[in-house]
Amino acid sequence: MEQTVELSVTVPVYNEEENVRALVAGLAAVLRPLERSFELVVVDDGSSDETVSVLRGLLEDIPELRVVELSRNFGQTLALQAALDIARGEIIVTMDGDLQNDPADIPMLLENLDGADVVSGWRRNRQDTLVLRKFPSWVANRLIRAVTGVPIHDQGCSLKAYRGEFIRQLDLYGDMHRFIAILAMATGARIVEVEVNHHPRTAGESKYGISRTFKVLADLFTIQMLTWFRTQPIRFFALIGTPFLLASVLAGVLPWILTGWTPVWTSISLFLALTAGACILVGMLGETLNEASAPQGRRSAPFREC
Amino acid sequence: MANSDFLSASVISVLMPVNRDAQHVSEIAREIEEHMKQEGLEYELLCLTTTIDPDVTRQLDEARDGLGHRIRVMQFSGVTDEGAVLSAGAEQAQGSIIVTLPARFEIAISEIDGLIAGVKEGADVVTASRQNGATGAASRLQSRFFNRLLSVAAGARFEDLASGTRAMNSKVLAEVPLYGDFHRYLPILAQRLGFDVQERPSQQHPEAKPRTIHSPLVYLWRAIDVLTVFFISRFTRHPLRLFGGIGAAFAVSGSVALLALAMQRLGGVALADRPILILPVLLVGLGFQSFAIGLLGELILFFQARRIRDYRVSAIHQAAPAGYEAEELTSRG
Repeated sequence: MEQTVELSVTVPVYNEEENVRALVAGLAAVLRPLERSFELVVVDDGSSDETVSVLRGLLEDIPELRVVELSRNFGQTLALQAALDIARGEIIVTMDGDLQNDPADIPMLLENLDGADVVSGWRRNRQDTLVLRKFPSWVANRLIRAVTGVPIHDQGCSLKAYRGEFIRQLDLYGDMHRFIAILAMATGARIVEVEVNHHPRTAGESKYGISRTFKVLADLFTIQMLTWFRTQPIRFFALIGTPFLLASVLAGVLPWILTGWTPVWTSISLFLALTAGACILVGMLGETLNEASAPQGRRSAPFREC
Repeated sequence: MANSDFLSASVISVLMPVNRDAQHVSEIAREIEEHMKQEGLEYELLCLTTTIDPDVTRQLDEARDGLGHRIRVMQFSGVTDEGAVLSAGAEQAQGSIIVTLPARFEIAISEIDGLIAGVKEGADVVTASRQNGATGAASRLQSRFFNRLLSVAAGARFEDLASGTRAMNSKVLAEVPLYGDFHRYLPILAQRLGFDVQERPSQQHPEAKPRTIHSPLVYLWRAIDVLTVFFISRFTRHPLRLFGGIGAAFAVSGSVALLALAMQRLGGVALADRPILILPVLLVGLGFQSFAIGLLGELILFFQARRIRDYRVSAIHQAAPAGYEAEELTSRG
């Protein structure tokens, strides 16, 4: 059995050779006085600069540090997934490696974790460019709140604290890490949002562009579909199929009553009926998958001892 | 294990899938034996056969007579899947470097040295890129077109994916899932997992006779392979992005066309017996079906989430606990 620690702070980094030394030193300075056992899991996401060498050079002075090297650049969400898989903490804190998150906020996150499963940071005074970062983020967050009803102002803030047992049961994959709050709400988790500091980037380069916003919105749609329909997929497919079935009946019956039988409307009616049937069949396949995954893929309803 | 006495970490395991077309197995085995002996390399040859064709069996018996304990024949029954056969062979292979070799004359056996050297220098996979030789102009043109198409589909440049001669670190075949015909695209799959994949120009075997014309079915399979590579390289984790995108394009164009027809109808043009009316309805229906299939893909992923790990850790470095001589512990993935 792997040795556990009370707290894991996980940081994915990519080409941050100028920042990692200050980041690790800053984290150690904040965490050591807490008198909890902790580890710093820094995941290098295939950096092409000297990030790994700098980090390895810190191992002697900061024995709590674990440096995870990925075989290539997999992107932030997969690096975060690696960090969460490797972290051994009862509490897991995630943050960015660009020094824009403030390690000094971590004790406050931990205090708020009493009575919550997730504490999410809110960069109320965000130090980023307006057009490329703040405005797209503001639009995306408004949209996410409106669509999902999850009352979080800043989904994109990486600085978050989780109960380890909770985050491990979510079975995250791919880009789902961006939507932990939405998935957490779907499982009945208690989420608290707290204001955190945000500093302007002083070294290194930002790796995000505006194109990320569109990907995030597409993924948000997927996540919402999954949280609504994962327990009974056939309902979703029936929801698509039913209008086609109704339209098929109308296209078949109405012209026949009004003008008499025509080959065009009959063809349309038949095609619409086939589409409805196809949707229902796909829905049945979804149910089969749901059932087939039950032994290993699904758990009993999540609950908490009160 | 019978062979374990002579096998060591520096042993090379040569995997050779043998199917019905393999008429030169014994000659190739002999060439390997001569070359390895000359170079002083220890090796084992694993012939992975899915056929009970008497000619092939005779060839294998001949090869076995010449090579003794260095050759192992693994007979698979009821399996035609070369990817699965290669994976099974890799599980049995005992060398730290694996060379895959087709059971036909492809590249000169001496060229394997360059591939093995590449792996020893640190690459995970080194694949042979056949240079001009026995190949005719028509064959070269086809091959170049196919490789360019695959490179675009995969987003990674390779000159000769059709070559089956490759050397690799044994951990590659343990981690890259192979099935069906996908062993052909091993370089793409391995690179996707973060392995260092290189191509090395290699001279063709003097007796190599690549076919210029294949059966139409082969071209169809290759075209489907290009599509599959495109899909697995970009969308296996985001099926709704692809199917939803296609579906939205269909549904929007269908809706626009329906709107145009509705406007015409309001202008007094009769609609009831115009076949053109079928097209937009068809487009909208197909759009929603495509979308539904995309969502089904997402559901499959969601249900399988616990098994999905798309990253690869190459090493974890941490300080050694007190009492250790080394200051740093590194565990490699």
